[in-house]
Amino acid sequence: MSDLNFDYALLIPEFILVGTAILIIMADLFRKELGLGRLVLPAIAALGTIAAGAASLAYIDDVDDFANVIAIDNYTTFFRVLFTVVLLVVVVSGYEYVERNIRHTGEFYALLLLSTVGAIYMAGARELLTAYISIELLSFSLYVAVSLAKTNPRSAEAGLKYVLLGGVASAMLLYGMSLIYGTAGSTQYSEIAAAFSGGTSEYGFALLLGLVLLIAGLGFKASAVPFHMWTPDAYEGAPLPITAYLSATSKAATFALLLRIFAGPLLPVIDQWQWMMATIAVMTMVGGNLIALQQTNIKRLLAYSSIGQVGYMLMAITTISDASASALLVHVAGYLITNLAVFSAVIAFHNRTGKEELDDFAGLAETNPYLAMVLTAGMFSLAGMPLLAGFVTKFILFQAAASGGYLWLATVAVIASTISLYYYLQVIRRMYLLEPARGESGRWRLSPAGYIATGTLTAGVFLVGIYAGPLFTVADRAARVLALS
Amino acid sequence: MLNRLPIPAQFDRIIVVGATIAVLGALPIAAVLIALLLLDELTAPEVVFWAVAALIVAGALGTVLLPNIVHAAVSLVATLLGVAGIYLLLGSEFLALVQLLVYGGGVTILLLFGLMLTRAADDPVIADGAQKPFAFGVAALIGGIFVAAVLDANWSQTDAAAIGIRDIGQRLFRDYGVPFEIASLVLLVALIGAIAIARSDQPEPEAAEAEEVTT
Repeated sequence: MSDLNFDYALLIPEFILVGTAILIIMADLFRKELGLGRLVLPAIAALGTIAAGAASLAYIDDVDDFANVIAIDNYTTFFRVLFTVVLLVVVVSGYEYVERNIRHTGEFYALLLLSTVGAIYMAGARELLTAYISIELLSFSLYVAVSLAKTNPRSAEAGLKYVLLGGVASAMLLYGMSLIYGTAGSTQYSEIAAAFSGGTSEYGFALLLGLVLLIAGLGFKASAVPFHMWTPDAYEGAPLPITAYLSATSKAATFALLLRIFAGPLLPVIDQWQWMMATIAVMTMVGGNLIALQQTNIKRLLAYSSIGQVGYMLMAITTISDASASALLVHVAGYLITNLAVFSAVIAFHNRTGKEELDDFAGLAETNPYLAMVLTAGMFSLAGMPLLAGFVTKFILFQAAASGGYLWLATVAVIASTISLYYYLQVIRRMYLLEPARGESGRWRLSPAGYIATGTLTAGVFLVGIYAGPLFTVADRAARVLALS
Repeated sequence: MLNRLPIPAQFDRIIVVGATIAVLGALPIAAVLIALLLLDELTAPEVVFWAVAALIVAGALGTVLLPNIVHAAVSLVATLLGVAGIYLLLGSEFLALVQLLVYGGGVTILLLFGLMLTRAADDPVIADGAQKPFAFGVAALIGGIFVAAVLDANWSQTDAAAIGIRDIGQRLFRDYGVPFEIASLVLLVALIGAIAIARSDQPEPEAAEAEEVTT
């Protein structure tokens, strides 16, 4: 044991990420002097990410909670690995796009790395202020990254909307946290749980208001209906890799935080928030999937589809239990793989054509059958077809909800999931049944990085769909940290 | 009407008139508070609290209601200084000093500098939308709910204990060392973001020259 108060070695993955970010900024500054090629920055980012992911694997089963502020345990490690994988995918599949469409590439990669640090600490936080500052680290990086597109005026608009609404949501979150702090007398999760388990009748309305504000603020970050207004605009205006990142890391990190809070300190007051969660879950599932039916832009379609997916995940928070916690982790992992497969295909498509309307996908099966296959697998998986990741993860998620006494919620989820099949099929119909636009019927190929990213992720979609056992085991070990009965 | 008042031309008329109104409004409040103090209805800390609370509310109202954004920013200083007074009353003098230095000094100066550099002062009038009455209604409703919630609850810890600066230092830099570093990362991101967004899109001088050479 060292002489330090805490075992800071447990934070090495984040040290690596931050160090890589600073290295990238420095390399960007001296780009001309050092004669660096255009591939150097993404290469540094990718290597740093791989190193961080590998380093976090070294700490499986190690536990330290840094005076009850940040817990490094299997739960954190699960999300560490997940987030570094997402970051790697975004860097690899997006670097061509970034080269062409982003104003400041060095800053872009640095912000991505720093936001991943924020996401990891959102999963690890065991204290309200730490959770808050981590959310801000993730959000601030994304506010900037959303508005970095080179020529798209929508990008600046999206960034402005995101930052204004995000600021309001952060304020609500802080208000809620302060009310909970006032009632519990502490910001640490363990002490909040202890304070609330002794009964909370004397706080009544203040505690309820705190919970409402907390759920509203976090619901905004997760883009749950009715706090989803920013999502389609931000997704549409943002550069495509950032859209992918928003739909993956940003969502997963919010759910990591939600699960830790609602399965820990707020579990004793479950009667006061369960109905709110159930209401928001239903609105999000139904609303997201119904509005998605009318979309004509692939980014907006995927935005509303991701809102629908958030509804399913909120269902797991509502019916909180050991089974639904581990089901949520499985679903988050499966959703990330599937969504990233779809997004890396869309990025590859955009690199070739520069278009993102649904009608532009007409006849893709003719011009690039491989990409059409990847998109089809991804869309079917998002809709929850058997043999694909989406089916398995949704199945155990809905099963956990049903066996937790929320059969009606699971029924709504199944109906919403069936509705979603319609708009996913709309994309597939355009690719396979329609003719390509005139003069664009020639075959084309992806770049090697495109093949690697889409191929690996599609393989992952099938692997989770067919042989999900290892993922279940890992998620189970991570969820056991939460110590739900 | 303001232009006809006998005020030297080098003063901003709205500020002078606003300050006069503020002083005239503060005088009766101060008189009532002093009278209550002399009659032993209130203790001295309570008098200070009510005075500071009046300052905070007045400053906040000025921030929202003043049409000129520079005046609103100056009015915000009153609120921030008032909050420092509340911290002093709670016995946390370190926090009060930090509030004075960071918010009363730094943040306000930053705000005014931002207004100056972005030339917001050239067009300082806020255009209120048609939804202003509706927004006021919602704000009043939310404020009412908050006040009701705070009054309704039976708070467990109501007495403020002075916390020594040594304890604050140990908590902040030992227990909360990691979140403290995360906060510094947030600042780094804000800095990078501000530069990345504000930097113009024009090609850098060397690149422009290189293009000229090739053409």
